[in-house]
Amino acid sequence: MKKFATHLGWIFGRSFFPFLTLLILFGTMWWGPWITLIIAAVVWYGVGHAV
Amino acid sequence: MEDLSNKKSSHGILSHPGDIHCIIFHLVTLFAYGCAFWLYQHPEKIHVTGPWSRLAFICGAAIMLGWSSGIDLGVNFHNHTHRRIFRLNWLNTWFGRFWTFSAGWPSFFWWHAHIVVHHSNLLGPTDWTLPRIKPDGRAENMFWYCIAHWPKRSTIDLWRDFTSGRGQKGVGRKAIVELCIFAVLWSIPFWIDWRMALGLWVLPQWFANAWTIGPGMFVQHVSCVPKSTLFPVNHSNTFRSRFFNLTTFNIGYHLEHHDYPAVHWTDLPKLHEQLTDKLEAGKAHILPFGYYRGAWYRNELMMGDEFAGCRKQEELLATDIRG
Repeated sequence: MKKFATHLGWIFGRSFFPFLTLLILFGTMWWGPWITLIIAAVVWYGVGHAV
Repeated sequence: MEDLSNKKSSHGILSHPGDIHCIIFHLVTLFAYGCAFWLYQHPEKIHVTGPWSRLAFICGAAIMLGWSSGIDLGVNFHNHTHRRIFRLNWLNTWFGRFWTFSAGWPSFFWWHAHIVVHHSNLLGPTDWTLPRIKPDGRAENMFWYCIAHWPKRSTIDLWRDFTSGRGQKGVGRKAIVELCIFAVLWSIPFWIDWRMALGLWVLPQWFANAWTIGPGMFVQHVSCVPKSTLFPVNHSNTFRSRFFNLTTFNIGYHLEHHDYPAVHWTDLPKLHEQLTDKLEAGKAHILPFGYYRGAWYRNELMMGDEFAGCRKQEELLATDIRG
């Protein structure tokens, strides 16, 4: 179980941005397009300055 | 480094077990494009009520899709150009074609630009993938480089290479075949809805090439000099941010990658540890952040006098020799 969780962790870690993209895209169904735009801009700005 | 560079699977479909991450990354990216298209076709589900809210969705989705696509091409497919991820040649070729089309490149074109042009002539006069160097020795403006590199410069330079036969015999014919395959695949979203294709296909690809790949390519070799006996480890910069390397297949270990391109991406941190003494002795550029912080603060962190730029080292050495 621990090994499986570790594998899962690596998969989500390595593909963090595609999974985050999916999450934000589907999140639009709840919060609408303007929040999606704000989140995407914050992610881009945040990654650009912090990493 | 023999034990790192020659490690390959002798069974199964993958050349290396770590390459499953490359496949997952690409498939999730493609799936995200598909989801964005579906949501665009069902505006009522995402609260799109008019042109402005539609534009907001397109811009938000384009940033995220572009960010993922940029990593998918510039880092993920990049791994495949050095070490094919499958043990079957035909699968490597076809998976490659389905890999790069979502970032606006035929796979063979990107392979040529990276292997034939960049790796074989690093910082040389024929390496057109890197920023142009001004007469005073400094790199051109980063924003201009990012905008100019794709598709304008890449198209012109690839045309020149393929029409002059650079790299291999019959390269021009191969380029035409690959371009035709690419055109068929790349045009698929246009068959569905051309407006959607412009906003959720072309725009993310422009973002990927200009704002994800561009700054990375700028900082990888900025303030560096070609490899030589005097400067053996000053041709590239290494970036050690853990989050950056986790999410970009260890591309931050760029100096190590250029010296040992056959080493698998999962082994690059280990290789870095093995080379630490050599890198420190050669005053290698090892930076504690990732590409994007380096790019935003390039003047302070990577190009100013405070940064141990190789050109400055070269000048100091020349002064020492003269003295």
